[in-house]
Amino acid sequence: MKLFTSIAMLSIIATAQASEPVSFEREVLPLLEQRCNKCHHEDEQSGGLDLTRLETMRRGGDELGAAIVPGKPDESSLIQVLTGVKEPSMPENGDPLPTAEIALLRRWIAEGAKDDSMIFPADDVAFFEREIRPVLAERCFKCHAGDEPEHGLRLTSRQGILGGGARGPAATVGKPDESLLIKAIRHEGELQMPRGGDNLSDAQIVAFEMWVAKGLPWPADRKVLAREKQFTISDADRNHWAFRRLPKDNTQWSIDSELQRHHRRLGVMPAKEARRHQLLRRVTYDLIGYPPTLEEIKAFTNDDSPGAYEKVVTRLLDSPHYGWRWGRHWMDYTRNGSTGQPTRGPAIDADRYEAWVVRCFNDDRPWDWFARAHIAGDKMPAWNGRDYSIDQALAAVVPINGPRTFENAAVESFVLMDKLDEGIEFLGRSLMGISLECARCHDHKFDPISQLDYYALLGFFQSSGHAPLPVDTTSRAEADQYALRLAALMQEKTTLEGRLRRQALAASIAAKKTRGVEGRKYFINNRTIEITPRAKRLHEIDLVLLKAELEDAQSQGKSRLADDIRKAAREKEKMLANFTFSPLNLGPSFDHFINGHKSQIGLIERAEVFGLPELTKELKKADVFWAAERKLWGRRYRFGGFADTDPEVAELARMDDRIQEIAAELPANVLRQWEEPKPNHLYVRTDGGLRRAEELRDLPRPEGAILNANDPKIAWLFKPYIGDARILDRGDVLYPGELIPRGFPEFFGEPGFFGESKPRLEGSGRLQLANWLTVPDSTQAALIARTVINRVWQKLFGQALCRTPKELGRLGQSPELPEVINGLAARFVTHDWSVKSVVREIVLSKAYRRDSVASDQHIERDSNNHFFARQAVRRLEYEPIANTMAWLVSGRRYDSPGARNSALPTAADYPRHFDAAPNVELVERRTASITATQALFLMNQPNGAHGVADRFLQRIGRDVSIEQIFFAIMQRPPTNRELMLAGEFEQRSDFVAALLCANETIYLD
Amino acid sequence: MDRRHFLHTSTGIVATAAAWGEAKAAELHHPGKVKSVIFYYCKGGPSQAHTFDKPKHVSDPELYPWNFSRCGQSGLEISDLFPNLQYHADDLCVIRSGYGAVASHNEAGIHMFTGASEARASLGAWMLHGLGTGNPNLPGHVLLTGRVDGDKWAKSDGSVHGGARSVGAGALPPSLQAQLVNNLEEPIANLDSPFSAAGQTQWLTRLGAFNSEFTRRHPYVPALRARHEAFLTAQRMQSAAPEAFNLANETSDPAMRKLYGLDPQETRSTGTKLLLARRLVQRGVRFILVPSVGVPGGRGDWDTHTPSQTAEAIPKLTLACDRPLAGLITDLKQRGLLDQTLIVWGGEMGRGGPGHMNHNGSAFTWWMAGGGVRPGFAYGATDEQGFTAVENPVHVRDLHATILWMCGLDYRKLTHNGIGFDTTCKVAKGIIG
Repeated sequence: MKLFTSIAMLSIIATAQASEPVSFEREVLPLLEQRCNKCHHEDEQSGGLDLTRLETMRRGGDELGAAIVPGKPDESSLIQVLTGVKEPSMPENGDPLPTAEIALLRRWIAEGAKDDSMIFPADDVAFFEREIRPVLAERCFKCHAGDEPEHGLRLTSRQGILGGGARGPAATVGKPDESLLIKAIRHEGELQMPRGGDNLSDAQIVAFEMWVAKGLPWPADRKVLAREKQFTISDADRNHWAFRRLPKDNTQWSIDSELQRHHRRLGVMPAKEARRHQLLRRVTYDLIGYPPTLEEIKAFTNDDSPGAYEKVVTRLLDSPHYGWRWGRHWMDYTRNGSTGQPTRGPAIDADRYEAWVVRCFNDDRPWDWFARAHIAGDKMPAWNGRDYSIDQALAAVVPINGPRTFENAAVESFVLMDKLDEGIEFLGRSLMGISLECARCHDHKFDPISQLDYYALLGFFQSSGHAPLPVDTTSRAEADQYALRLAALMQEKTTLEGRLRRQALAASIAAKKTRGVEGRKYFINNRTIEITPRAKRLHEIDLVLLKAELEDAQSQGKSRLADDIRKAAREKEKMLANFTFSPLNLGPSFDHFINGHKSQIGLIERAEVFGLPELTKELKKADVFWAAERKLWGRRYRFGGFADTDPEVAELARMDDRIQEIAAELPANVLRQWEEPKPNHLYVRTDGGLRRAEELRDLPRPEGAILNANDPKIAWLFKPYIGDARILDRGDVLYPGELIPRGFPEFFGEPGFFGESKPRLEGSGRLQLANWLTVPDSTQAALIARTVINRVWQKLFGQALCRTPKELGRLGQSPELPEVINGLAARFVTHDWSVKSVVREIVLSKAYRRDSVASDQHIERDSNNHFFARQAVRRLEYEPIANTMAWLVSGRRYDSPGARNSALPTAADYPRHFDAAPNVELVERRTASITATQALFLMNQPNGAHGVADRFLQRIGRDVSIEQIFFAIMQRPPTNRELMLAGEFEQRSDFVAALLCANETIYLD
Repeated sequence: MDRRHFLHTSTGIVATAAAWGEAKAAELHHPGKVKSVIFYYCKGGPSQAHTFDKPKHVSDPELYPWNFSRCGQSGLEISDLFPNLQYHADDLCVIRSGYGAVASHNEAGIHMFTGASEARASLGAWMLHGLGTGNPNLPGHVLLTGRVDGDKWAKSDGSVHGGARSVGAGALPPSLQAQLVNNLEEPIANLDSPFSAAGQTQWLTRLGAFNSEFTRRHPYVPALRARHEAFLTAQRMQSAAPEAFNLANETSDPAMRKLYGLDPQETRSTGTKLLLARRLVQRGVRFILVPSVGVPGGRGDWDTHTPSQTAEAIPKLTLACDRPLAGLITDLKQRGLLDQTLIVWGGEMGRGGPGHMNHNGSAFTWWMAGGGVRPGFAYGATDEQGFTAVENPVHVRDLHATILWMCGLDYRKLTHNGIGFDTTCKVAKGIIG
């Protein structure tokens, strides 16, 4: 046996030595392309591994290390997984590779894994990229790429072309006339390509000939082109739990019957119902964000009637605070938080939006309507039946209320694109619970959303903008007209600015004839002579002050400082001896010299320090003079050196007047949209968006715009854009492709909904998008309903059924209890999308009312409580904690966070210590951090626990009983032990402060 | 006695050296040098091609306006934007082959510090968990942000992408999450107790008694115990923190002012934070994350997407950290602490595409200094254009494993309640000196 092995080994080595070295390009790459590149490609990188390039092969994937170890086939993980030495054995779903192929790879590695592929000059590669690659991709890859290429010919790599298919090599290096590929596209013989009569153009054929003549240059870093991946929708997509239509509502079905099935299966005994105090506390906090009052506790604990709990729930759902509590849960998904950054935009009125959200929740307006309002609120009738609602128009801007900066959105396409992307992210994550934004760069890797779908949706957003409208706008016609007028004014202003600049320059030059020098120069020269003595005087004062400072430093023995000052004074003397003044010095630094800036101390302050009132007075007068002077220079420069009253510039002055007039009329600086508009105006959604800056080249240039002060492009941007968006190669604004007609993702497509043809879009088409979103019985509506149910559940149980509430798609976690989501969602939709009815159904369930104590059996069988045999111990969020403290201080429940905060001492500290939602992202889960700083805040900040305790006692009376205190803070009577403990405190307020710091106070159990 | 000598023998150092002794040396998996990490985090994803990884080939030279110089004995190539760090070339170990980052900021921040996409334990939490506290009276894991009083230059305090989740404790005890400092005038607020020391202890004991019943009712909820412990830590911090965070003695020393750049506007805040970080290191704090501040103009962070952003922001961002980081290296060296302190510079991702203006997860550069890394050394390389790590690639998780390794911790053995460190990684031993 031993002998046999060594003989076999010898013969392998012998063959290896006898033959040519293995060619990477001609043998290895084609093999890999055929066998491995489907999953291990630059665009796919399953397991982080890219097997199209030597570099990435040597790097390896995420887990197994280098795929190739040159010279060591046995240590190369590629060989290990192909031979089954290491898991996972490859190919993943298929027969093992033939031994000969593995042997080839082994030999190539043993020979040092050399890369013998051609490297072409950059110009030739560029030629390929420009002339050949697009044609290949567009015209050939449909058949000659992928798993089963036509006639075995792959045109996705150079080696594939040279290797050829069933008819032999497709090309011969350097010989176009002998190449089958060229013959086929020339239609010379029997084989004529592309099939179907649509021939390549003559220019394209010439390019292919040149390319073959050059030796088929190909980029070295991209040996295998991405095949035109056919976007497909699989059965797995259709069967994904969240992508199915909803079942009909089964009136027999209930949460508890569903859960009971699972508890039996798992053999867990569900927890008993919570104690009465505990339950009242839980449901009151959950529904309105405040603790129950003593009266409410008494009323409930004394009510033995069977409907007592239902009565409480009804009362809470009718409370105005319900809207604040539940509206806030939604606000977490709108990037509206308490902490964040300044230059996001547009500047939407977050308080007003929140108040509107609260109204919607309190009125229990149907969720499908609410969702639609966030897309097209400006185009929907108002809730009260009127024609237009400014609040709904405000809600429709919320999708782009994101962290990405709005600066330069008007000139830089990538900023605009990022901003629009936020809108898609909102539509997907916040409303639908899926990650639409993933398809910006490529087809979604998990969900049935193609890149085309993304850009079809993007068009709706790109066709939409926002404008500062008067808050009292009541009709849509009025809103549209106003928005149009704003755009026209902007256009006029920029055009005038450009014309003014050009004519001012002309006037300045023309003045040469009469004055001998250019107008601006003339002004500068004359004026400089006039103001030089005044400037000199300032420096003389500086010298006086320096001398005073020197004396002071010497008297204090600061010798080093004195040296510095002496030096400065000497320089100043030199400067004054030969004083000249340049108008260039008139910039901000001149103002800093007088008034100080940052670390610089100004003349005025220095004079004040030395108690020199005369000088101070003189300097203050000078300050007024120089401020006016600076204005004068600006003005003169604007008019080519002339005064605006000079007849030479009469027309310019008129233009300038008009510009000022427009500026006064515009309610906001539209170039700085993150700034608030003038009072009584709101940034709200309107149709008409920005155009991609690059596309402006094709637009006619408005007169004079070329000389716009900022950027000529801006002038043209204010022609509102309504149209489709361009697809971007890999989501990159530098590579725009064709326009993609606005429409809805294919997967959710409802061909019947808009008739057989495409929907007729009005304006931006957002209204159609909104209507599509909630088409009854559609898959997308089902998804939206599931998203709501999942989040409502999360807020009432501390964890969601699908634990990725922003991602119900295939990338998210599968829920253990999809039936609960489906059952509740079906009922939700049947009950006219009423959120209150879902909340009611859940809080009335036995599951909600259970105790939160985990038994050993619970921990053993379902430690994470995925089947809800018990309630959860949850920390209260920031809002109810702040509410509680404010309520203890004043005894009141507040109608807004603002009112609450004004009653709560040191209110600004709470968001930080108790994890308020940040406003830079869509927040799917609040954190409950435990930090020493939170403890320090409560313990030591005078207005923390002690401050609240003092105020609470002041209000309620120092002689109040310990029992009453327990009812106020923990909403239950004390135990005997606690009564005893409470008695040990010398100070009542120390006792109250301790209770406020106790875990039970800020946890629900 | 010269200054350097004085610093070595001053009593402050001796005292802190004693505190180190409390580290759980016996529990190390293997001998490790690193006791503390100071991580200077460049928010937004710095372009490696403009800083520490000169691309071999660029197609648009005008998008790369800054030169690189070969520096020090080692000839390490560093951008001229870092004149001070160039002097320390022989201290730096530049890792040019980082990969495996995520290419969108918040997710990238979480991923860069936790190696995961959800709320897992962060690197600092693991390190603190593995090494144990170096000073029970101070938070062992600190996120150090903020601006000094009167700094009108910096536009933001600095923050980390991903927020609290990037510096969280995941399934480890919650007390291991980073303590946020965002006010340098009062780094830890509310340190004055209304009670006497004894009074407070008594009060806390009673609070514990109130808590105990609830805690007993819910033995499977670790947060409850952790929260009570946070109160006890808070009490200890009251005495330890003021001393640790008091910079008065340091900032009155002109040499320190110069070393860390505490006077120029552009470096004041960063310098102060790194000086503070050094003080914390001396006192046994394990992991200090110092994010870059926002600089004036544009968006002000390292997320440079256009030629104008690149030209405007990068020189200011480098200016803000160059002098302070160089000062930190010098200072730690002079105090003999550089061997046990690892300095890391890096962002949440790298950049790629034309002019390195796009997000890039396939190549990023970090550098390290101290802590026994191989000095004056460049590890790994990117491809021709600097877009993909090709030579000795180091995954994000590998970096975590390597840093922990240098601490004497074996990532395969780090566990808590059955939850371990992600083991799909390897230690990049090549960077360990």
